[in-house]
Amino acid sequence: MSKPSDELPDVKSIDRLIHEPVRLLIMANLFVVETADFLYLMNQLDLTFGNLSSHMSKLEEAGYINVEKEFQDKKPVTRLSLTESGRAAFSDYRERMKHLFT
Amino acid sequence: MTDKINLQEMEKKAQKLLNEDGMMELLMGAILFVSSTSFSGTAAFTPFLGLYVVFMRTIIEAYRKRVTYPRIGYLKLPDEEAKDVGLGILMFIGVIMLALIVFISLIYGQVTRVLVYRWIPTLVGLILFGGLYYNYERTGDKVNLVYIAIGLLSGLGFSLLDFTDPKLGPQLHLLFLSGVFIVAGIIRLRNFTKRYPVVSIDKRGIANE
Repeated sequence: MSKPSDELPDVKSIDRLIHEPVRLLIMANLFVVETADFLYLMNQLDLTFGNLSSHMSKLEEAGYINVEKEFQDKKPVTRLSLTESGRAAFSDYRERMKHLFT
Repeated sequence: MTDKINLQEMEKKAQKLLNEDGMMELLMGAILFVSSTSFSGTAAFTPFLGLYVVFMRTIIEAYRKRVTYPRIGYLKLPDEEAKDVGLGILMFIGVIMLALIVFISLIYGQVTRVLVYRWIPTLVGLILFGGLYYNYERTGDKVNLVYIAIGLLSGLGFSLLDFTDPKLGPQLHLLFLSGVFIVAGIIRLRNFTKRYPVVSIDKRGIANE
């Protein structure tokens, strides 16, 4: 006899880190470009520096994004890109979401 | 607001945003201007075409660092296979040239230097069509369709006009196109700088215009 949990869709395996709406948009924006800086993402997503920064930290901790800080004309520039595991995680998330609904 | 995340549209939007800075038009205008001098007999500027090719990336990056990135932020798009794109362009130009020679021999029964010069403007229009349509597909920017129409119509027009010197037709056509692109580039640059003022993020992380 099958347990009731066997009939439930496998939603627990969805990456919750990416599932959060703002982080999902950050990941999607970085997925289509090679590198972007803070200003670009702030403009595209209509986010404040602080808000973007906190989401970025979480994604960086998970190893999904690569953060490079440098100075350009004496101004600090933060450049962001998806890591290989970030790309793989995002692609996996897309596949799971596609199959989740029929 | 939209209820879908369309990655293709996101990519196009990013490409279009980078295209709005007028750089493509200004660069095209300069290249077409230099190309026009190769028909003048003196060809004083022709060596600059080689310099363009060598320093193209440096010129683009310098322009964007100064004009584009301080306004919309830094953005690097995935590199397309440069070898494939270059081969595609060469093949396209080869096919167009071959088709033009076949066209001339079918219409006139012979291919002479004068006839080739006469139809060079049409050839230029067709080459522009290929490049600009590719850009339209990538960016979805409809201004490319306007440039295509100008390139094709002016190319055909200059090919049908009679000039005392056969080299004058292609030269004037390239100068005309160069003028069109430089004016378009200046207008786009002005609109871009108005639409996107320079933004800097200070130490507190606050964006200032």
